Amino acid sequence: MDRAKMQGRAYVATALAMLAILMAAAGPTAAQQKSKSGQIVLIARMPETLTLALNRNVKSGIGASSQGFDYAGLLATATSVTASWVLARGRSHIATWSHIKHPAAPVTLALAVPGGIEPYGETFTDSPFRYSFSARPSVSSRKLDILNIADSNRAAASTVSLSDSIETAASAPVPEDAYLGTMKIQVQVVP
Amino acid sequence: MTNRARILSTITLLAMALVIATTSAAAQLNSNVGTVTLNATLPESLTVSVTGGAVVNFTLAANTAANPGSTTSTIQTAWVLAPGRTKVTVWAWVANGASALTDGAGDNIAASQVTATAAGSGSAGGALNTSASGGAGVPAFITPAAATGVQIGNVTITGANRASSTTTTLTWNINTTATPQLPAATYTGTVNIQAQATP
Repeated sequence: MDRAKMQGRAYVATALAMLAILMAAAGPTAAQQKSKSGQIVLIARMPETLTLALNRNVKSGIGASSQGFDYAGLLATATSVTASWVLARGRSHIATWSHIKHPAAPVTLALAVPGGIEPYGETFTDSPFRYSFSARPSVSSRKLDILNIADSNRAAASTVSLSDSIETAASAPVPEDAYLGTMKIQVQVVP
Repeated sequence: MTNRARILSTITLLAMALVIATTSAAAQLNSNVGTVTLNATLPESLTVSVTGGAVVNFTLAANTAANPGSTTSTIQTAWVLAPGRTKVTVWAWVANGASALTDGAGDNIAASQVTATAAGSGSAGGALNTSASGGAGVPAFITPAAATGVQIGNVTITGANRASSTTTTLTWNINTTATPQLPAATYTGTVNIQAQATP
């Protein structure tokens, strides 16, 4: 009886030992194996941009000539100008300017001599005396638009209408002595 | 007769002595057995190496879906695993999903805007917010709670590839349409690449 008990205990002890050995052998796979981490650095640059585009109306029915000359481009009327931007923090304003450069030009002066009494037939007659002088070149500037820059319009666009644009049409030839100047439009960010 | 007997006795004794001596010298003498135990351990190992494209540059355009990275990234994952392992997965993750890249002035590019398209290791990759920390099947190393990532490799382990490797290629893109008012600036971020063997 005692011998049987001893044999049973020995069997249980052996089984436990075997189980322990199996658990120890299975140990490494029970824990998840992980690697050390590698690293990749991402560098993204959002550059500041500021662009200006003229919007124009092109006369219908006018296109390129057989020689490839772009009449449509020549006869287009600028109706508005669009500024587009992506700005960095710290920018507070954006302004659109027009600059008109007047070149040096000879000017003839004549006196207008009044005649008669208003409202009874007042008239002006040219004086026979004429003088001339040369006007110095000049540049006149006008602010077309100014916008405050906030987080909501740091990347945006703005269109300004050119209400004073002069239409040039083929049916209205430019006089020989007409002044031809160029209006330059520029956009500026502040600061 | 006595002399003959003596001579015979002497010869007999000599012969016996010779036989005994010869027999003793021919038999091998063995020692007891000493033992040397050889213990060879091949430890489990799992490593990732960024072998190319460790720095990726982007030139961003505002409110634009496609802003590709300047280069692809190449990741070499190598392992020696014990029996019982059935899978190796590779992950790309960032510590904070809300700001995968930042300009340091409070302007961020979220992980959802950064895509790592994977090839070569059994996973398609995706946006870096595809898996969140603590999610089902997400490795514990994707931590803290704000961390997010994406699986970029998934290799089934068999007896044939218990010691093997895989190469993953990542193609990067940043989508700025989710942040159309992102200010012009330089944004930087670090993506961690890590592998796990299971179970």
